[in-house]
Amino acid sequence: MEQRIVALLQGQDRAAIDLLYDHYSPALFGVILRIVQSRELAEQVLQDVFVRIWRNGHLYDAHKSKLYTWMLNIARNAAIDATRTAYFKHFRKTDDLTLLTHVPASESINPDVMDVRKMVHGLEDKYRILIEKIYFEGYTQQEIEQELNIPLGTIKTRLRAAMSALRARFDTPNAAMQALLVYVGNWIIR
Amino acid sequence: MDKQTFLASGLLEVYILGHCTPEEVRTVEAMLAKHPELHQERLAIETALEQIAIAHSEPPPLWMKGRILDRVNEIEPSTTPSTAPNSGSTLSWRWLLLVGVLALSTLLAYRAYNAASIEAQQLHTQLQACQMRDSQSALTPEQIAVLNDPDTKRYRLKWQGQAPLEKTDAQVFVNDKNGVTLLGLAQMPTAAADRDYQLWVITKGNPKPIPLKVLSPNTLTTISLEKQTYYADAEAFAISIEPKGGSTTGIPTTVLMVGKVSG
Repeated sequence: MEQRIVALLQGQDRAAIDLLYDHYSPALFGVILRIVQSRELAEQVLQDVFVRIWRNGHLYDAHKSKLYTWMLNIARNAAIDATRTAYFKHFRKTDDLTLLTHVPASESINPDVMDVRKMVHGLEDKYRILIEKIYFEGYTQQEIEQELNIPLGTIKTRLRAAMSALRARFDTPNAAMQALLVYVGNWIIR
Repeated sequence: MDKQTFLASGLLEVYILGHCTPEEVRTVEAMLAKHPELHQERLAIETALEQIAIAHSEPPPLWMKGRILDRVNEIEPSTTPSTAPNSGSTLSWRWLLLVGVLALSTLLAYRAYNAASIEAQQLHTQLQACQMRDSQSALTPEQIAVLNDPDTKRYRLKWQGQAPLEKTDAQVFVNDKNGVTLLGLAQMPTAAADRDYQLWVITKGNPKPIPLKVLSPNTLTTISLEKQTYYADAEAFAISIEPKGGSTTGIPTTVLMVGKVSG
């Protein structure tokens, strides 16, 4: 599927956007929403992200990353840029952890999705905070070093440990099946 | 660096998240080139990050797809050649031939391509070189100065009674040095069609609130930051709900939020 979409995207076939939206928009929207913490802003950013994906489809290099990673980074960067105005930084209490851990309400949360969320939230604090800061808040390594007083080298090795811990949970046969179900479930809903 | 040291360092994770310095990018890409089997590890990390994203999925509103398709349809397909020239290279003979043969339409295609190419190269640099992002700001230099000034005081307005929306954030920023007051709003519940919000200031010795700006609907989309008249002797700020156009009585109709100035 990913290969088919990539071919359409790089051929500038608009059917690519249709498929991309159906398969990926909930994940992209969820990430953007978690970063900007505002529905209306997230809606704006999501549109901009799809336009950017469309415009820059010819730049995507399948050897360097998966399509999903490429799009997620576009979405994260756009969302983080939207929050990095001096105003937003002062306006939002960035040290307010309740904002960070707020889970957007869904009508019916897929239990498999909840398991993965629980896995992230179930990580040791030092791992979970790191993933949240880098992934959902766009902290650079330098910013984390300053704020949390962790040396740069430790940040990286700790991130490695955090991701390894998560992957170990994902990699159990059960978790892999669950992850697959989540993916299929999302596809069917669309 | 050997493979094990490289993997344990976490550089690969940081690379995938787009957070490394240009030097770190070079290190990672050199390792990937030298040890192609590392691509499997890269894919595994990417998949884990995808799963985190999927776990936080949220369906966009129903109107979103149509809106996006409309925007994409508005974009003219550019007649880009299949291989993009490097930024440093001169025009290839093939490109020159196209320009020569296709005259005006080629000139237009070239301009569209160039604009897209510059934007694309910028995005490419951003993604692949993992440069630190500068903070982009749509604010005026004065607003930025106020927000960054350690002497600026900040007063949060609180709902009087039950908050209709938990996430509403209303703050007044006061800088006495420069005599500037800013009102910042985020996620105010939308006022009814025949109503407006209005800001008021209560000054020392004057029990009657002074009306400040009527807050028009388009400042209440999500986040707004607007300059207000500065009062050196402000004691409190309030937001009320008024008929459209603001209070006609000179006093607030219904006060919704109040923030006291301390110190």
